[in-house]
Amino acid sequence: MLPQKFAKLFLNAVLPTLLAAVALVVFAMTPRTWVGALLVAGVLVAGFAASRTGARIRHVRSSRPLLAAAAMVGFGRTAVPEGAGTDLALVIAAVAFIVVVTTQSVLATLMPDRTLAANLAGQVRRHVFTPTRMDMVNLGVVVVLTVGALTSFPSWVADALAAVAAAFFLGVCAAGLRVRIRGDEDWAIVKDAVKRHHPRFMIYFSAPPETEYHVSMWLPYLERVGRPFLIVVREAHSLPVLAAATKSPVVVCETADRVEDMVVPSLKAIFYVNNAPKNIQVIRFREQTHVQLLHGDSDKPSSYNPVTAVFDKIFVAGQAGIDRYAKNGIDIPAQKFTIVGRPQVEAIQVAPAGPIGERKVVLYAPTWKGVYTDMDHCSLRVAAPIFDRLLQRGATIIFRPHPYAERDRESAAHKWALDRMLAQDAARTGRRHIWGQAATKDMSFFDCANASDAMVSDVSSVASDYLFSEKPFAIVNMGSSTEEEFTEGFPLGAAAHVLRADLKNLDEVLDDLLDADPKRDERLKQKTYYLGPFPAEEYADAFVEEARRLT
Amino acid sequence: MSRPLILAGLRWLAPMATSVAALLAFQYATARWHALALAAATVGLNAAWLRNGPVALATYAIVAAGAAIGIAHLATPLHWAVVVASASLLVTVTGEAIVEKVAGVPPRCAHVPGVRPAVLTGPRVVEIAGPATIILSAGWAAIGAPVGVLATILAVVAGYCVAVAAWARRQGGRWPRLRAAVASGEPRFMVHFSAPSSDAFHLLAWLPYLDRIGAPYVVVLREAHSLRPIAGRTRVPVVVCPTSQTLSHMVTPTMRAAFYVNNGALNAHCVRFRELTHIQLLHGDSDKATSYNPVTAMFDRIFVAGQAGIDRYRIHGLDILADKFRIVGRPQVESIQVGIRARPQGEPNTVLYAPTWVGTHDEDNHSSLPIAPAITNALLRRGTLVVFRPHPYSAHDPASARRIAQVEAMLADDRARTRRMHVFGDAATQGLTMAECANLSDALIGDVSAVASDYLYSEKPLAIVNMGRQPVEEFADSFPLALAASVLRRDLSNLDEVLDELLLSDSRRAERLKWKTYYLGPFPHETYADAFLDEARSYL
Repeated sequence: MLPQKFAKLFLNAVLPTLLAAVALVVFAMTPRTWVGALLVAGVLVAGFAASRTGARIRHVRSSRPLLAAAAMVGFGRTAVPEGAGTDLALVIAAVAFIVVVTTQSVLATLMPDRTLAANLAGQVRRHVFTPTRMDMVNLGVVVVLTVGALTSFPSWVADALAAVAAAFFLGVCAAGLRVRIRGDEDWAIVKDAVKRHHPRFMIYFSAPPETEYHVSMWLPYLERVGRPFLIVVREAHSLPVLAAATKSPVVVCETADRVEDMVVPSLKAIFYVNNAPKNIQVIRFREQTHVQLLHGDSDKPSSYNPVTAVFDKIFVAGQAGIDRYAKNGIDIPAQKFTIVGRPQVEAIQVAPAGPIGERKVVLYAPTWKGVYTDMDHCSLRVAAPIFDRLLQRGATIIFRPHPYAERDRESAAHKWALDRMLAQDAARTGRRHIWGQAATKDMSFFDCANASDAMVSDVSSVASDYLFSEKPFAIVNMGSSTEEEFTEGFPLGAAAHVLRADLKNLDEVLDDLLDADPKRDERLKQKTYYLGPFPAEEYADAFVEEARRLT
Repeated sequence: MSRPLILAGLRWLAPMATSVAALLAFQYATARWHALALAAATVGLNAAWLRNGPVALATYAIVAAGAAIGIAHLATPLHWAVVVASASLLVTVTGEAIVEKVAGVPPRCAHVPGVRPAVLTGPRVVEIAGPATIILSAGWAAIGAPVGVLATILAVVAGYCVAVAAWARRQGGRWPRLRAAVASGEPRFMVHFSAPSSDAFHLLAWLPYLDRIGAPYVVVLREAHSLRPIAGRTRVPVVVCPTSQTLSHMVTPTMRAAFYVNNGALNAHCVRFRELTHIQLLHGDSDKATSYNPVTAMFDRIFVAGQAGIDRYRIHGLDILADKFRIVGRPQVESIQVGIRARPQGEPNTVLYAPTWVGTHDEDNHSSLPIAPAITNALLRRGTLVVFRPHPYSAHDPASARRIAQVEAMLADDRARTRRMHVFGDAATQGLTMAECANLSDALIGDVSAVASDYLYSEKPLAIVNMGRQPVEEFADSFPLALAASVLRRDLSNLDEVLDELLLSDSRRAERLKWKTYYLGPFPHETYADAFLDEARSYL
């Protein structure tokens, strides 16, 4: 079977190119212009759909040159009657237009970095000649040419269209050259506006697309610090999501020099939420305190990455976050650590003591497979029997898989089968299971935690977050280790009912989880160990005050 | 406007123009030889300039479409063979991008026993298949040979490309084979290198000493541009691992440690392999900011030349556990001779002047090149011989390059007039190593850089130029090496005193020896490099 990324590449790049090529051949060889026109329309629709699903722009645009050629040939066949000889003006127009279309896909690489910023007081001008608009102009020309192929326009129309495209192209080139020669005037405006904003701290972020939640999960608490700040992102794709998530300035700095411009004198601290390779380009500024927050707190390797040692301060939720490094042989001076709790969990309600009894809403929140095999703790492949037994016991299930679960074909298939189990059971028993969009999009993890009475999950930060609720939970041990080895590697296991991957102890674990709950005392102890010794009412204050002290 | 920009534009425009012209020629021109020539020109231009960038692919697609039209002209009305031929051609041309994607990152390597790099990259045949089938089809259309035969050939080639993609996928890429070949050499450590192309010498400076450790090892490069400069200078296996996943293939069961020679951006990928001890060597040892980069904290061990290497981090407020540091000396200086040079009767004093480069950041700029002519002039007036060895990077900075030319002109002039054999230009920078330059000289004038601390090994007098604006006491706070040297002010007001001290009185010798131990470790000359070798072996 084809992997998902192969299918995606086919849909985004190969299919449009093939369709465009066929369109070209049809226009050139056959009198059926309407077939060619339909194919052109197909390419346009496919490209539009691909760009909506976040495909790489380079892939989406790979079919453009062929598309342009097809439209030109189609136009020419209709405009110039058979046997009328070569229309030189038309040939020139065709060459010019195809060259424009082909070159524009690489135009962006010729340009120096674009100035992109949001929520700034200064006015950054809107430019007329941008590569994106160039693409729109080209597509417009293709559409008119195709209409011409169907209805026969005079051939000067093609000349005029090619001239328009070429003129716009020159405009884009001139704009790029101007920036190259004169320097980026917009950047001066951004620099000035940032200086006048007097930011006391910076949130620095370099990451692949769709991971902006690493920042947005910290934003509410960093905003509570009550000091002006700015967000610097190293990749332009992070801008839209973060610009919408805050009122503070967000600036894209694609080069290290631009980051340096953002380190203004008022800046006291720089906060990081991950261990991105580009972080090290900023650590060298010694006037600021560099604080690593990380974006989740679990016993996974990403929570004891040796790279974390490079920061001046490492904020951890509880003592567990400190011990983890030492346990894995990573030496970091104790004074770098500060226990601040994990403010995000304040949204979780603390449950009253006592057995669950009749309520029995069980949250199942497995993790994903991870990039490296040593990070694969995902229990999705053994989940069906767990669901079976839970349903037999009359439990209501909330199923909230990790958002990355669908990146992997096998996991996606398991997820789908589990969704179906819940749908069927809901139809049969009328129990209100929650799955799919309702559990992953409409509810946050904290909503799910609050709606549940117990949880089954994997080694991941959801388990330590759930500790805050004081409700019972089970962890699936997907490794080959015994329970002792497991709790040694993942101390949180001591607070959980540990379910073996072969499910041999499933019934015992469910008895403990739903009725006996022998681990409550251990859980309360681990809550302090993992989430810090802060009272539930003003839990987030610990973080906010510590952050304020550094800014 | 910049020349490279125009050149880049031309390189894109030329193949594009020929490809579009080929397409139109196939459609309209009666003499198909023109079309064939244009198609060939496109392929040639791409091969010469664009390799396999997106533009090259686009132009191939255009020419392929043209060739398909050309074939169709051979058999009107539309014949099945035309359809097969056109479809196969398009599959072959566009398929390349997919094969690349499916087969994963192609492994590149050198000196791996049992692996011929070219065989390992087998599916790259597909790259040639695209242009080759285009030329074939264009030629076929030009001579008007039977379409059925062409259709068969093209279908076979397309089938082959699809098969290669499927094979590469089933193999799970070609990395497992490479891993097995590397693992069979039972490497005990790797040296991990991520750096811009100009920095290969950082690694080259360490390779002889890594060889002397005497255990099999692997050189892991993170960027393909380093392969050629490194592979040409070593016999050990060299592998390029561009991604962190490919990197994980090189962590073999017998491996115990990973060495690093710089703070490259991608080092972070490697330190997460906890089964290895990660040891940072760095590539120079000076009071410059690169020698107290906070990033160094991510390693398990930090090898420093002397106590100075440890104190530097603390002085700059960086918290790194003392336990991580090991004093191992700086083995590269072992070829510097210790003590006063035996010099022929009547030969004047020789001064080595070795200014550093401007650095990447303003606070790193310690280069004395702006005042280099004045320093040279003073030396020449005293009748000394001068060895002038600027930092290799200085050639890239126009202002620095002008000063270098000026100094070299002064030296050439003086040589012609007085017959004093000054050493400069390529003779000093290419013909001699740093150690040889040191051995030729009786004293050094240097900047804040590793050259100055390395020179301490010779125990000969040295001066450092203070290019900052701070007074001597503050200068010594930031750059303690100044205490072992005479400090030359940037306004040159103490130039004569400094030269007297260097060439005549040398009153600070005792103090300098103390600093030598502080900077370069307490190891005897005869076995100096052993300190590093023994410590390194203890981690294998």
